[in-house]
Amino acid sequence: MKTGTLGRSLLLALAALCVVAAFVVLDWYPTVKNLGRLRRERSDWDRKIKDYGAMAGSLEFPSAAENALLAQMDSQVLQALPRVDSENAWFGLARAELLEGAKGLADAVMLFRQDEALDSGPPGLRGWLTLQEPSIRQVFRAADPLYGVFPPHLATEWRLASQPLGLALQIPLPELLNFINRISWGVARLEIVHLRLEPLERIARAWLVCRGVYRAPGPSARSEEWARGKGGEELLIDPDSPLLLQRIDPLLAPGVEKKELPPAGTPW
Amino acid sequence: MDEANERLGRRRRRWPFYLLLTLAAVSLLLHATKYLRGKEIAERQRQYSELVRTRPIAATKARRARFYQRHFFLAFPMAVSYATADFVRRVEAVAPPLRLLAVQVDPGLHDLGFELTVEAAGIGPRTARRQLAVFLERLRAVPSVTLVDLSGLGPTARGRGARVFTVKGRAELQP
Repeated sequence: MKTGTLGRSLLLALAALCVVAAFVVLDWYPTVKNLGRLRRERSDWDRKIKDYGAMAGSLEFPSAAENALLAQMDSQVLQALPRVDSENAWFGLARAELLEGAKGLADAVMLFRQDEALDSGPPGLRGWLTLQEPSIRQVFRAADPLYGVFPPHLATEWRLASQPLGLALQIPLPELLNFINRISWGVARLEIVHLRLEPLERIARAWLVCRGVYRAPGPSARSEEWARGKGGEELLIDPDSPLLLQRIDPLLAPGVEKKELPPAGTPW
Repeated sequence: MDEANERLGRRRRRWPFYLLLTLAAVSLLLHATKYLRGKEIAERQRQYSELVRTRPIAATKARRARFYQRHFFLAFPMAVSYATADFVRRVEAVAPPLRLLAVQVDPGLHDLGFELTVEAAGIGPRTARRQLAVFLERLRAVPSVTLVDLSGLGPTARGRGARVFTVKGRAELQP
């Protein structure tokens, strides 16, 4: 009789232990594990909130004046870019502008496109350009990659396109340098891609390949290339720069200025 | 006496019920804690989102970065043409007594790459080397120049005592 009671008690104790073990294994352990994970997650969020608060404290949020300045920027860029009726029209615009800028020197300046032969222009210059032709063609090919200043979607929206243009000239060095300095002052906004200059006895000769950015009338091969994000050098921006933490002061924001070179012979 | 024994026996028979009740209570407590902790996390997420919405750091920095990018784009052509012309002007000033044969400039987004070809004529090799050293020193002193490198193995002889050197380097767009 006693053996039977003891056996039953043991069986009950075993069953009770099994039940406790089942609770522990199937419910308590996963729950406690989850609680630990949730505690860590809560600490993470607390830290994030604290860090964000500290970062926000070091940042000057835009004022109304700065917001207005930021909003105007895109329209300023759009206004600065020439809008042309055709790809050829841009070249015509750049040519007219350059020749007008080279007052009295128009005969000494020769303009050419990527696919044009270099057999026109002043005789002395023509022979030199023939010798330089392989280098010029190579620079033209390299001038195509576009800058990563605008994201592809904006390039598509604004129909941005760019094309290279070559020019060569043979004039006295001071005048040549002034011409180079003023090359970007016009509406065509020519960017120098490459310059080769050779000072001679009394004059200097040079050839340049420039690039112009403009707004194309419609989708073209040149604008699509930009939109695909094909680009050479990327403009580097430091996301941790303290400049980005400060408000842009409209009065201190550097302007786009036309700067003349110092007169020839000025010591530096 | 029998009744008391029976009550005791009944109470003893109820222990599995109490055990289960205790286990269930502990489970309930744990789940309640988990639920409350989940709510706390949701609250913190909401706080964080609200903070990001009301004090947008990344968006503000991105807008400012865009401003400076656009500004750079507008000023870039003029900065390049001025830097190129000014660089040639300065090099031409420091070259004598060496003769500047050619200047090549390749402007990039951040700086200018240059290659200069200079000639030393009518002098001995030692004098030519000394003049070249002086030229390189003067070139390094040009405010915008950041790197000067005498490329190649050395001068190329051009006959009649003329030696041609090639100097490569980099210069800043806005010194």
